[in-house]
Amino acid sequence: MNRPQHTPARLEPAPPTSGRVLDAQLHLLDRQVIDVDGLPVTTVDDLELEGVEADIPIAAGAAAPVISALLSGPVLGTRIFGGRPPSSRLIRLTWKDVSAVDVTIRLGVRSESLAESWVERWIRDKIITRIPGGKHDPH
Amino acid sequence: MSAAVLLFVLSQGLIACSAPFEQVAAGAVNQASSAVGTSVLSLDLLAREQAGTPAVGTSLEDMAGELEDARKGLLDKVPATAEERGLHREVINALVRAETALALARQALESKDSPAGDAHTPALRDARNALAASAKELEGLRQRLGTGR
Amino acid sequence: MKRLLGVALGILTAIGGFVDIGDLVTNAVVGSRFGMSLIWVVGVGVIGICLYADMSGRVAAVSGRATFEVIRERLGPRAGLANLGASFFINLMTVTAEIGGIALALQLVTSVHHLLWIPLAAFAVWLVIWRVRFKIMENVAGLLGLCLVVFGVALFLLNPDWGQLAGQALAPAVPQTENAAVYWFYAIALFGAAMTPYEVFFFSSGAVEEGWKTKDLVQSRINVLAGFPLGGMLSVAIAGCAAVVLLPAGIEVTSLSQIVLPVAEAGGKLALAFALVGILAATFGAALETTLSSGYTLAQFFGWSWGKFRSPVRAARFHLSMIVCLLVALAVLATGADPILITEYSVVFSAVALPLTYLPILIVANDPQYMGTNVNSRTINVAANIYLLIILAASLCAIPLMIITGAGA
Repeated sequence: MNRPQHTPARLEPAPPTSGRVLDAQLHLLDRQVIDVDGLPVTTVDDLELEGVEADIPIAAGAAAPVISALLSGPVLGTRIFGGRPPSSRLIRLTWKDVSAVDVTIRLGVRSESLAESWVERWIRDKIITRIPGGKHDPH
Repeated sequence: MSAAVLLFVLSQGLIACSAPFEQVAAGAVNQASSAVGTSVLSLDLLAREQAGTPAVGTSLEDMAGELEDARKGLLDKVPATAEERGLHREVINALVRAETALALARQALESKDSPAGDAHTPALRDARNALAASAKELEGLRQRLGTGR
Repeated sequence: MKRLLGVALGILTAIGGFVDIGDLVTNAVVGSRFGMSLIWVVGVGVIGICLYADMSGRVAAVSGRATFEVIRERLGPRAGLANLGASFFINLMTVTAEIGGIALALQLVTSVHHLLWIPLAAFAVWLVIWRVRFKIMENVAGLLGLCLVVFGVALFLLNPDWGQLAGQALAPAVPQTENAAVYWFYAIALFGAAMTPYEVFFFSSGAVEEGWKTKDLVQSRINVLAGFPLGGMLSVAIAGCAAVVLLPAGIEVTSLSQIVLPVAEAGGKLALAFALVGILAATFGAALETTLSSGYTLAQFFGWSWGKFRSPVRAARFHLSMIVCLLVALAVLATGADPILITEYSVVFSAVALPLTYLPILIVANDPQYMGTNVNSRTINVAANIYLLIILAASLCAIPLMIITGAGA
């Protein structure tokens, strides 16, 4: 094969950035979120970005938008059927609580303290705890 | 998925309405012949003490349901010509005879375990013979009509 | 020594756990109507489920991700939700069929009508899921399910014309009493029964439940490659018994009570007792697996905490959703719907839904981000792609054939 003259034999490695490059669609959305004890919390149903307005193109040279929170709950419906829920109704998991991003997203806090897990807590306290044997540890 | 189910139900309705009479009759005979065959086999197993009363009783009960299904399927269909009416009467009569024989067998099985009846009641043998006769009749009809498929 | 025992136990439970109400009914129906002429489909299905279970087990062991988490990640919320809807619906149908099967088997033992057994059966299933450890649950059901070997013994005791059976099996042809569309309809039903998607949800979630790691892959592969084909032999034996005793008598299977008649004919009351215990264990085990699978699919899609290795309070939504599923199954059965009929539809719909779970698993099994060096080998990929074509064909033909044949009537 004839290699064009101006192509270098080896590509230079990409310049180092301050962190890992994550694709929101590929590495964050629809990933399982696990708390510090290894308990599953939710799936990432949507993301909240700060520093960007919807429907307005970002001007060149403006500060990059940052992820402020992972969203969960009914917001999934708007991703499937369209529309936008009112901001006050969103269930947020602040980005500060995220400790690692791998095939799952790990949190540095316990799920007990999160607003997100209220449904789980409600069902646990109102139904499951009241059935005999609900607290029984299988091991 | 639900669309598929709906489509299926609709198409079944259409097929049931449009199937030729002879085919419906053949299907009923086939179903009844299978049910009567099962009953005879179950009673034989009981007589040889190869199966207990619960299993045989369940089998007879299931087959009674099958016979009823077959008869109802045929009653839903109205014969149009004189020839069809003749066939209709013939098959219905055969089905009723099968149901009667099976009812006898179930009664005999019930009384077998009751304190009054003795272990090898002749009633069971009579019922078995009636079922075997019905099986023969239905087999003859099946030879004539095919399986309706 | 302990390791060897573990391998033996794994294989035995895989054999005993292979057969469920779908396999029982479909194989007996097919045997009684088509003789051995459709048995080749069981072979095709068994190889398929081996491939498929091996991939999903490997994905779960290496990445710690069970099937439905992967499906959501790969397909996104919209296609994922459609997939969840279809898979969950079919799974619920299978739960209903299995619980109905337990009740029918209990009727055969006690002659008390099956409708009266249904609430008790559903309650027992819930109680085991609520309290019993995963490992014990699986092993007991699997080992008792081995009683179904009596169908194989019965086939030998019946002393059939082996040459004729082999001839039907090796040179398959549509019997004169049946037409080709019905033949292919039952081919798809048999394929769906052998490859039911719930087995894959259960297998991959079970790998997470039991905490499999990469080092356990060899054992899991042995379980699958030895256990499933031997379980498939049980299916063949069930069809064989029906083909030898029921087909010549003109009996077409429409109820569970007919399925056990050949066993009684061959081995009397003792063999019948073994068959009934086996059927009870197989349907009960499968009821547990399918109920858990409904919980697994929902929890994994929405990211809830799940698993029997946690106490119920630490997986509240998971346990609640299973209770609701059992109640729905109970409500359906309480209408008097025939469990055998539900079974027959569930295996066909299983065939329709197969590509939905198979394709995402195949994609992820090739993704180095999840699998590292344990991605599919080239041989597996060739086989998996051939099966993808078979599964797609079966899925596309299932509904049209069901309509043309009136569901095989």
